[in-house]
Amino acid sequence: MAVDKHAHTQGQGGDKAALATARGRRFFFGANVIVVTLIALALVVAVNWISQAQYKRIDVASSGLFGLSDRTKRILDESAAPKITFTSLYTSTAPDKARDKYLPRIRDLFGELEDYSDKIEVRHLIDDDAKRELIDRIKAKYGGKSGEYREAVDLALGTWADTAEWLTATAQSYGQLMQNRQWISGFATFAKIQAELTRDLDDLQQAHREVEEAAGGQGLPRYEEAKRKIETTNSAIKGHLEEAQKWFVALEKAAAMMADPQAEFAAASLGKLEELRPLVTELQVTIGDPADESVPDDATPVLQSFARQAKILSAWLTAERSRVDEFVGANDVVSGHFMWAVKVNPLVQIELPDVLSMTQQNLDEWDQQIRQALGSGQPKDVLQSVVRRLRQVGSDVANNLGVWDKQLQAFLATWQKIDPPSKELLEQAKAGELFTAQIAGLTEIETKLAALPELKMEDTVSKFDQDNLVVVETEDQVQVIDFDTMWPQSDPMGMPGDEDIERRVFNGDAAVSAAILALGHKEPFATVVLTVYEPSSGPPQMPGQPPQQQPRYGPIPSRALTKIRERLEQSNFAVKEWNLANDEPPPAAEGDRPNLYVMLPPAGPPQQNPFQRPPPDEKNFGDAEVEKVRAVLKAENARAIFVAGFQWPQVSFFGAQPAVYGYEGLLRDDWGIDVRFSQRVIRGVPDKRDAERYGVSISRWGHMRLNSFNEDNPIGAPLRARRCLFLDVCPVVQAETVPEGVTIDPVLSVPATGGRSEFWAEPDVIHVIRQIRSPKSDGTVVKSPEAVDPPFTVMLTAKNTETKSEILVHGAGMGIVDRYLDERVMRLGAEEQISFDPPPTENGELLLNALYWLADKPTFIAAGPVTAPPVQPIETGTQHALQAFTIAWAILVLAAGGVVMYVRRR
Amino acid sequence: MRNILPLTQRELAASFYSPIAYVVGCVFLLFTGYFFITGVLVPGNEASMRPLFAAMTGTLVFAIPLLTMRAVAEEFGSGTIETLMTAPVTDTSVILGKFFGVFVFYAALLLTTVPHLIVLLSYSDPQLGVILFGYVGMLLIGALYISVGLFASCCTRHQLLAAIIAMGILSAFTFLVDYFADFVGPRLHGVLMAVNVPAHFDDFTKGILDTKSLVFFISTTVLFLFLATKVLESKRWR
Repeated sequence: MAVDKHAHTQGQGGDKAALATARGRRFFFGANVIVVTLIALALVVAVNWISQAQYKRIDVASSGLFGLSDRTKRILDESAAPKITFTSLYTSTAPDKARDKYLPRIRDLFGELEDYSDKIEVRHLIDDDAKRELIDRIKAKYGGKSGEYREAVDLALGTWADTAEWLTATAQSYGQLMQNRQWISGFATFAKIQAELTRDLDDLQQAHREVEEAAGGQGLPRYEEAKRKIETTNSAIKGHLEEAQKWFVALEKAAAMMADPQAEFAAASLGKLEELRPLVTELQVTIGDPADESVPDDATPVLQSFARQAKILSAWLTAERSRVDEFVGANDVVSGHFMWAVKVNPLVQIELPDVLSMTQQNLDEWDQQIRQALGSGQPKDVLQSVVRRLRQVGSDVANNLGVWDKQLQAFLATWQKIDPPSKELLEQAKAGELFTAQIAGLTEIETKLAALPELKMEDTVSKFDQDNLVVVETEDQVQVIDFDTMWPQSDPMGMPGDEDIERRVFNGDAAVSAAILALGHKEPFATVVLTVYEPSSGPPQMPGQPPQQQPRYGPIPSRALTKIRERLEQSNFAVKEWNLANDEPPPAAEGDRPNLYVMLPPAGPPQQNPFQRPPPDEKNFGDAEVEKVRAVLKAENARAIFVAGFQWPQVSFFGAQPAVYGYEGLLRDDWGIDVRFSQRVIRGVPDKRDAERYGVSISRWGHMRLNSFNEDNPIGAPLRARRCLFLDVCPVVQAETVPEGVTIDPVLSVPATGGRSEFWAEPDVIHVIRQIRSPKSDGTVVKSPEAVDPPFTVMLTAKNTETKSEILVHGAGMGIVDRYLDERVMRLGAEEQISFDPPPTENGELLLNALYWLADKPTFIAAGPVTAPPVQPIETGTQHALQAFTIAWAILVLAAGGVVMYVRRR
Repeated sequence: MRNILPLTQRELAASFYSPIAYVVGCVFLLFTGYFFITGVLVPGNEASMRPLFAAMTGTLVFAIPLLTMRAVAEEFGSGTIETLMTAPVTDTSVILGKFFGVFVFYAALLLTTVPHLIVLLSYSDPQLGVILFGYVGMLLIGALYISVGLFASCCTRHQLLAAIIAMGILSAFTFLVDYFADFVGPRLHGVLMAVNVPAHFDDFTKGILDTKSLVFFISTTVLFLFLATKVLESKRWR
């Protein structure tokens, strides 16, 4: 080996040089590595940065399962809001709403939204602090309008505090007056006022607390609720105070008049008493003393004399009664004094003037009897006994009129002795100082409330009490999507298993797009004209009487469509109403905005009494109204929905009156559509024992599941996977003759099934109901012989190629009323447990889809949930086998490894 | 490049002859089987392998480091690294050879979940395209995890330590980032989401090809392979 002389001769110095060179090399390599690493890192960051800014998302395989629909993308693009924030508040741990189960899809959706548009920000909140911050932010959004509500609430609470103080003092002072038996306490009304003030104080304090809680408690202030509470309480208390004020003023006037003994009534009354006394004395003298047993042999003159005197007295009493009644009629308040009442016995109390009437009637009766007795030639002893009897009557009359005399004098005297506290109260009433200030304060509250703008916050506020929400915000508006809207119940066709199992389907795309649409109000697409026939008066209750001033409504009254109206306005439709009963033309279309008519079933004729002719001015839906509608549909590009359904026959004492559907003829003749409104589609439960019998479940009767929509029709296709429940469905089918140029397409049908169908269209519903109600009923029914088996359609569209008009006839439209859309659906589950499912809002969505279709905006129809097919049921045995397989498979892999090890070793 | 194939074969053979690989495979299949039965094959649920893929992502955070821990660390421990270093192969070839070797083994491990898919197909009609795309995502995520595992294995001669380092890095990018992303402000949220592995993987399970995610996986895999190469290189001159 060659010797490195250089290194050897250098010795230690050579080693140092070598070391320095190695260190230097390491430094160089190390620095090089660091620099290169930093460059690589920077490169990776740069590449990812660029890819974040410039990227493409391609739905390679999911077929819309996870991506945004075109509708949602379009709505986002057209939304005027510069920024939209989506916040999920999925916090529930309840098994049926578990966050872990339902939040992941929300995250997917939010991810897609965030990726789609830069103006979208998403957040997921899971703790209470973040929720409180969100609530504060939403509170601030309603700033302007809610500020006015805040002012109104503060005014109300402040005024109420003062009113409560005043009520306390006033009720106490009135109570003191009653305790001290002051003059004014003699009036029952005063006691009633005092009691009312005390109650009003309690109500006011209660309302104060409730309003404070509603407007200032935890969470969002419930201003609408507070406003309603203030209005109710304020109105009640103000009404009581006004009534009381009126009474005090009237009392003051009466007191002023009655306090003067020379006033007309007092003077006249005293004068009348002077007249009365001799009349009574004369009567008594005429008939004699009851203690006197002797009776004249000939009683006739006595009786005649008595009758004469009785008649005079009776006439006087009648006149006096009239005079008194006239006075009381003009001064009603005086009759409220306790002295104006007389106790006839411990239990019965009558008004003082009734003494006069009773006495007068008594005298008239006896006068009659005397005439009869004298005219019928009664024997002497009978007449004598009459005399004895009349002596008692005379005494009674004297006693009763003595009561009148005494009581009236005392009554008149009491008005002269009004004590100072009572006088003071009357003075205040006269000066208008009694309740005026308080009434003015309450009126101010009323005025302030009436001027408040609509807040439209109630829906948002009420939803915040629920779990699992999505909040969609723009700068100044908020929409809340609740759990049932985001995850509605599903009803996948053909899914085996019973209806008890709650399945939900993700409808986030449609829910989010609807919320964004509701936030950004732009020019409405079209005007929905709700067309009704509701005459404003009904027939008179009795002949000769004026008509009843109450409208007559059809099966879908216009007043029961507030939910639908709200939904339409949120979905960018304007809403108007056209009442065919009012002789007015249809609303004119505004600019380019088309009118879409929704023809609600007209009110039928009132129940007829066969024994009575209908009044000549009775209004009924008829040819004139049909012509109006026909004229609308004959216009080019006319669009209309005819809402129909099963019409119940009117059953009355006079029998069943067949149902009518006013548009039946028009639809059949002009469009070739037959609305079989007298048939009700029933979904029974086939009886396993008897092929002819069906069980009728209450839930199916009121909420019939049907979602066999035509998948090629955009109106119903999105709802195929949804739980669609309908009420009073009737078949709507193509007629035998269809006019030329009209094409008809089905939207919703009841399909035929291979075997026994659960559905049928029943023309004799009464027959079915009778079977159910029969004492011998086993809960099952038999179809009537005229029942129609499926297939048949219940919803059709029709197009007229000449006029380019389009209509939709909706035989399942009865479920669009508020009550139906609002009420949760009762379900009887396993072991007869009752649970409640969300309301059938799909009815509203179906109508909305139809309107979008009619408005030529099919892209705005919500795509509906896109779901992967579900996993089919697996038998328990198979499940266990599969579990064993997964374990065995893992062990097999381990065993394979063992074999490999063994073979290798060998 | 021609040196990579023998190295791959060598690594593959080592993997298949390693008892740890079979133990990891067995445990992996037990976990996936459990998640399949309880999360996927539930009657009434949507027919989708997404729950399984999500569970596998979490399992792989612990499984792959156990597969890769011996890749380089064992060479140091047994002394065979000298032979490797002096062989006429570049460090890059060594790393790539080991990477592909483990990757092929990993792909074989993924294939063992195909019976689950067959069972699912027997009881439902899932969207096959989505599932296959999910497997593509699994391969990408596996590649990333293997590259991190290799990097960790290069950093130390102790296999267990290599596994722990790899699990630590993968846990940070898989669990911690995903968890904290919901609690931070919008800017930091954006940064965290850019490095959030499950979020990038999620698109593949939905059948959506997002170029952001593709670039993320490829670039970070390459980065860690590069870092592993540099660490290995540094062993020469230290």
